[in-house]
Amino acid sequence: MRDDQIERYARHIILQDIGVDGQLKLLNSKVLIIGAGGLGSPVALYLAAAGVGTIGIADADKVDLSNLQRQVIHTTNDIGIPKVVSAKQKMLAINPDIIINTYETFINKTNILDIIKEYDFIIDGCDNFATKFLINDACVLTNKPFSHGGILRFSGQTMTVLPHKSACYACVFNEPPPLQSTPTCSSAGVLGTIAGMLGTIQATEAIKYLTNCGELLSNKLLIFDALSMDFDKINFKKNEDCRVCSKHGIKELQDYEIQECDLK
Amino acid sequence: MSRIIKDFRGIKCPINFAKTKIELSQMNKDDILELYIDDGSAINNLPDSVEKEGHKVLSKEKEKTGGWKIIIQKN
Repeated sequence: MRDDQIERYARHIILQDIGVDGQLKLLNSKVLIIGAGGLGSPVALYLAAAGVGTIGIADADKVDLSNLQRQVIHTTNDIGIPKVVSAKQKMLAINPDIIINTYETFINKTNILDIIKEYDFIIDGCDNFATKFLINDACVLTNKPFSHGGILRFSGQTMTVLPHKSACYACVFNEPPPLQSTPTCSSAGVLGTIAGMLGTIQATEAIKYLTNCGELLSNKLLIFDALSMDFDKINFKKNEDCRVCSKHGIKELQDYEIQECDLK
Repeated sequence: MSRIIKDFRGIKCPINFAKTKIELSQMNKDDILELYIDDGSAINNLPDSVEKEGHKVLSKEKEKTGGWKIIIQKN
């Protein structure tokens, strides 16, 4: 490790559970973040700061004024530019020592396998059920560990999936809720700070997985309500009849129906 | 069994401890690290931290040229 790296990562190196070996593992790791929005912003900032050597970031959108209340990697000056470009600039400003790959595209069944294949860990930071289930299916098919995350209003939930070892997203939720039952964009507010709370937990899970320290949120769904500031963990088991990850599970990908939203 | 000498005087906390950990990680069990560190927070903290990592601090001596010499045996 170079002298400047020792200084940059000293607070990790002196941690007993991370140490020199853990920091070297981070520097040699590759993480893909799907979504450069509310969840992806803190994940991208912290993983860049932590020295994860290669970080991919996928998002098709451009920065919009209405994003800035919670998507803290973007600034007012970035309005109108692709989110992945804006995110890459900030990540490299924090840590020029890492490689950032950008994917300015919507994730779908035809491109996801190719995008995730070179990564060690995937972060689901997307904002719709269709993509969340697609990420789960693709990660199960290719045996990639990932962190699921979701936020709405004042609450958040997250779980870490180790495909074929722990419960997958479909073991817990089976399939996307009916389109008419999900909140419409106009009714779905979100407190900006909970994006930071949940995304930071997801980044922590990625670091724990990559350095093999602590216990992951696998077979557990962590939910919190920021109004009462209650945190709960619900235990789950792998569903032996899961339509995705059981031995009768999926053999190929499907695109789930996406909820269209014209309101920005 | 080999002996390595490192002078980390002038290097602030906790960078001196991070560098010490890196040196120890590259040594074999029972090798000796002869380390020179500053007076003050370095001598008050670093030897305890090294012991918490499982290594043995064999001696601590005040140096005439300033700071402290500490002898560590790698676990």
